[in-house]
Amino acid sequence: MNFGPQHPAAHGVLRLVLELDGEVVVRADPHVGLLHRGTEKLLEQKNYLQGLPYFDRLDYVSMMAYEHVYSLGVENLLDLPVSRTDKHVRVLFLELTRLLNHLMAVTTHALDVGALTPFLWGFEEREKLMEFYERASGARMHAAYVRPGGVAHPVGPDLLSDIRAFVRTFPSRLNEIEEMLTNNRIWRQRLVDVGVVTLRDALGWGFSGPMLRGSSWGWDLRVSQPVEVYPELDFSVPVGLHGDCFDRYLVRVEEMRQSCLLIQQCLDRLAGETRLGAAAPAAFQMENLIDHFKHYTAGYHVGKNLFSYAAAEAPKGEFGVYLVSDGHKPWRCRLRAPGFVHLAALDGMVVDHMIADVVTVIGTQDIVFGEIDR
Amino acid sequence: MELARLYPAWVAGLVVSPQVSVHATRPTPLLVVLRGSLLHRGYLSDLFGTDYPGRTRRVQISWVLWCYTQGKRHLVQAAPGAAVASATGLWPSANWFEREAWEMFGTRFEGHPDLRRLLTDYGFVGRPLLKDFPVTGYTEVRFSERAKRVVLKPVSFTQEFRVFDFQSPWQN
Repeated sequence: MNFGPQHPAAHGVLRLVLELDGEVVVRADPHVGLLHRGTEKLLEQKNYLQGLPYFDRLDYVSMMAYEHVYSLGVENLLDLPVSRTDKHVRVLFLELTRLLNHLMAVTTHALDVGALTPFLWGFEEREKLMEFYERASGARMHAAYVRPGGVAHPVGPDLLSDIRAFVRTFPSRLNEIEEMLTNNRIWRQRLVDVGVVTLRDALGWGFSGPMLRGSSWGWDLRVSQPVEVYPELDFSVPVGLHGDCFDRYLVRVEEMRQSCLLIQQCLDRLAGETRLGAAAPAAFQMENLIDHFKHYTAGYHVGKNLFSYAAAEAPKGEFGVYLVSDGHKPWRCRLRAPGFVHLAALDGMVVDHMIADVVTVIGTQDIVFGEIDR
Repeated sequence: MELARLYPAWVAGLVVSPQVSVHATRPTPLLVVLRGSLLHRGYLSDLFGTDYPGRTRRVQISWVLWCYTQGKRHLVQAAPGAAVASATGLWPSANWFEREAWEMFGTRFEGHPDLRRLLTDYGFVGRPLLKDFPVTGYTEVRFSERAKRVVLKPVSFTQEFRVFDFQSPWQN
């Protein structure tokens, strides 16, 4: 049976060819690539700065997390330092991005399973988050905000105080969503003991992020391979016990709470900063303006045949960027998308499940086709 | 570090920081050994090709392995001319990665169970990530009013495809 590509629960453009025995799945063969845009090829044609916006369009619900990894890769190549303020601003927005992603993941999952309300509530919060994106970068989604060497613009104090007001109320919004779902009988019947992944399987399939942590392994690149200021911040990594869809749901919700803590800590640390609202120096001096123009039009030179592999904890799991430099452009830019790996394991996860559970499993994998098809 | 000492015939070069980068003349047995040492404590995180047209075997295959207990990443890269075999028996996650590398670069992985196209269109011909494949491709799709379906046509441009090579006088 054909599932998708236009099925609303296929999260975009997944075509799934299911072999069934009655209503029980015997084999699932995902046909992907309907959103393939050749990002890896396109990146070889662009200079490093021009390449950045492509990363927003990979996983279009956690934009800055992907820009960030690319920026890390370019910074590795150039050995470029990042100021402490910019590191804090990055972590701040990375965690806002995690909220953005997990809200989407949890509430559309609920929508697929049959609960409409959390979706409506969650998207109201996402709207606010995207407003923060807009105020920082000028764009609601495709921000191009995290750049190699720092961030594109400084953030203003009024934005920070509004974010603070947001994270103060956000946990109670989460409580509301949890009230609707966590002890809901239907939600539990559809998720508990569905799509169970043993730790052994999760490792063999190369899972990362909440998919791995749901299977009782507390592996988080923010802890094990810390970047920016994560090691200085205080947060914990939630871990599931049973490896079923319900545990992964709980992990995501708890991660949102932890993100709120991280955001608050960043805001506290940024409170004393004075440089925040300052305009870029290019605006004031002719020489700076010329320098700025040169780097924007010509791009910067990043040696030849250097390579770097950067990876960080994106909301969906480990996102990695492998770069080989070739002067102004990358010779090769490999994108390691977490969703690609997860979807590859779909067959193993849905075998011996009912058709309806396929929807649950796709939802729990937090599939976004921008990153899978690249 | 021990890898180069224990298996000198398989390893051509090794750099430890920031990740363990191994230049492997015989990647397949090396991966088996690495899998044994990572067993249940690591995973294959990525597998991909890189095209270097000047070389005799132009596509270089790389494997990225994570070891949890050490929090360490291994980047194993096949030396030019090294034979590559499928790692699906070692890690199931290699399946789609190898399908992608085969489709994008044309590298055959010996022993892969199901080497089919993955990301490109049904019936697509060509190896898109090879350097001599044009960015624009060779064909484009268009809805044909006469045939009442989507048809493939050779690409046509109203303006020639331009590459801006900024070899600027400012370059230092």
